[in-house]
Amino acid sequence: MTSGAESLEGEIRDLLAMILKLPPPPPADFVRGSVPQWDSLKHMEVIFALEDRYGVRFDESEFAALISPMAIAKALHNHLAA
Amino acid sequence: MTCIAGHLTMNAAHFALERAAWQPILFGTPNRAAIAGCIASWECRPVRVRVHRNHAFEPVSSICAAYAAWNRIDFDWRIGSYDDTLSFGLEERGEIELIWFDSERLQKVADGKLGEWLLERLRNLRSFTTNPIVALVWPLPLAERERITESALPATYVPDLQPLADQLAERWLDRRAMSISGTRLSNRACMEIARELACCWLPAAAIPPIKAVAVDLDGTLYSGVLSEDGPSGIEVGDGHIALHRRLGELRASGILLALVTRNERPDVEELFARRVDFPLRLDDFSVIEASWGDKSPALDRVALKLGISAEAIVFIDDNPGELSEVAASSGAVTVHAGVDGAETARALVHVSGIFRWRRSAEDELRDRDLRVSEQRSGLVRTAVSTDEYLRGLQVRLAYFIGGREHVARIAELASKTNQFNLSLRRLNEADIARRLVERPANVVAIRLEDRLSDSGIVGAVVGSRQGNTLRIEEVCISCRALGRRLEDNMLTHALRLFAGEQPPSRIAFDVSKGPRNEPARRWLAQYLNIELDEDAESVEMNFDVVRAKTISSAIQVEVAP
Repeated sequence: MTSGAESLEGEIRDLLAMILKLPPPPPADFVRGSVPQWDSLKHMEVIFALEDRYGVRFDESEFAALISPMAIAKALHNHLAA
Repeated sequence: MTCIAGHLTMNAAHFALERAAWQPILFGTPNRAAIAGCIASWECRPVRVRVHRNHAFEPVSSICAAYAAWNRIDFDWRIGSYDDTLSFGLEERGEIELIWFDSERLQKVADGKLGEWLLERLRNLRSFTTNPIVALVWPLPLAERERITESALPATYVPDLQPLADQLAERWLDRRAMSISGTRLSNRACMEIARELACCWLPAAAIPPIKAVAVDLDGTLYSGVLSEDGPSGIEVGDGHIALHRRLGELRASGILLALVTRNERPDVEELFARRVDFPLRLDDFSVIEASWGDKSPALDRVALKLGISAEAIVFIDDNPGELSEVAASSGAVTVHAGVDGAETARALVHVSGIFRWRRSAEDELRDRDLRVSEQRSGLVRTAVSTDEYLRGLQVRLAYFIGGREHVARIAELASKTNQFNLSLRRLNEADIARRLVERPANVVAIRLEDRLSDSGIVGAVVGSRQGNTLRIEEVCISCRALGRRLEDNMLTHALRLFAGEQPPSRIAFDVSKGPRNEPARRWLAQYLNIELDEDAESVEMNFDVVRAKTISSAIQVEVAP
């Protein structure tokens, strides 16, 4: 992965930590299933925050795949490159 | 020390600076990611809210946190389970009841019957609690909403969400959210509602109102420096005009305005005389403090002249240093005048205590009353006796026993942070309405008028008859009525009316010591001729103490049924 993608992933990790109120420092990587705070309600907040931060709009069909900083970075990359 | 509950603190200055830094984030275009980054590093007043809901409230509550912290409030949400029937789980304690309801999910209520059904549910909730109730129901047709508001359920408020829905149009709903978050409201809708809920609707139900706005001139009401650029050199942009207009609207709604500026008074007068393009006029300001000294003493003088606590004043200035100094020294609420005056105006109207559910007649009387206060003070100083002073002023007191029409004003008096609240019980409209139902004479309102002005309802006595004892739960007098040598006369008559035709043998006053109610405590000690213990919660005496008082014949008294 390029340093730009790593930087984006780091930003996403920080944003997720803030929305999910994870104690600092946030883990280097994590997935939705392993974070109890990341329930369905918080998932919607995460999506809303990502959309606001990066000026994108996810399709409902993408929601289920946005399960980790890496997966989100990949999805965002596709949106931002489009 | 902390920055809550009226105590000045070391971090009040820090709070003012952080507050200024948050303003563009909170009052610009809302952005969930940016708002989530606003995390309070200061102590806030906890307010526990019980949420009765049938769709997801969490996307709103998570955003409320930053707006509430900006107002030094920390909402402790007690969110119930999803319930389309509004059965109200009341197991946990709360201070405010919030109903968060999507009426489209209702299956069993016939068309045109939504208002009736909601009203029945609100009455049911009211029968369990005197907490303020805020009901956010959408969609709610106008006629259905009016049916609820016309019922005049005490301390029950139903904000109209439709203007927000109209403003956001197609951005109001987001069907994508429904499947996983349980609400069809969009992110933007949730953020707009959160801002109004945390800054306006909930605080107005539980927080004392703001009474005045003190505003700087240079860099705040215009760009430029008056002493250097002169009246014709300063510039007024669209944002400044928006701020002027907003201040004018607040003044029209009963909030007093003051100028606090580092300029010479003649220069300020010339500025307003020459700049006819200013929407605000010099006469709109009840107090003008133009001097080269620090702003916190100037603000203290404003508070003194208006007869209010500095904590009931919002101070607007473009200089963060001034905001910090004022916040640390006086406890006033601060708003930063940023580059965009329209954003400053938006921040101003979201200071908790600015928005109120309704305005009282007294709001319109306040300015006139204050403007003649110096004349009254002059008469106090020169009068040979109290009777001569009262006769000269042609003082008239009117007493209203059990009047439902004064419930809102009495609740306002009880909730204010003024100097003459004996027990600081903070009774709300529902508390007072409940006492009226028990016995109309449990609530006495006092109206004051003299030849200089009509002060409106300035006092109230609330309590109950318990066997042979008259229990006085609260005595409140507006600061505007203090210093007129009226307290003894005003309250003796009220207590006798309260007692009715069969006077009790004992009278007990509930008391409490707060940061500013020393004048009320001093009055009671002098009235009963006792030493009032710091920790006393109640003072009981023989009712003869009230019977023995004489009421000045110089005062005209009227008792309304």
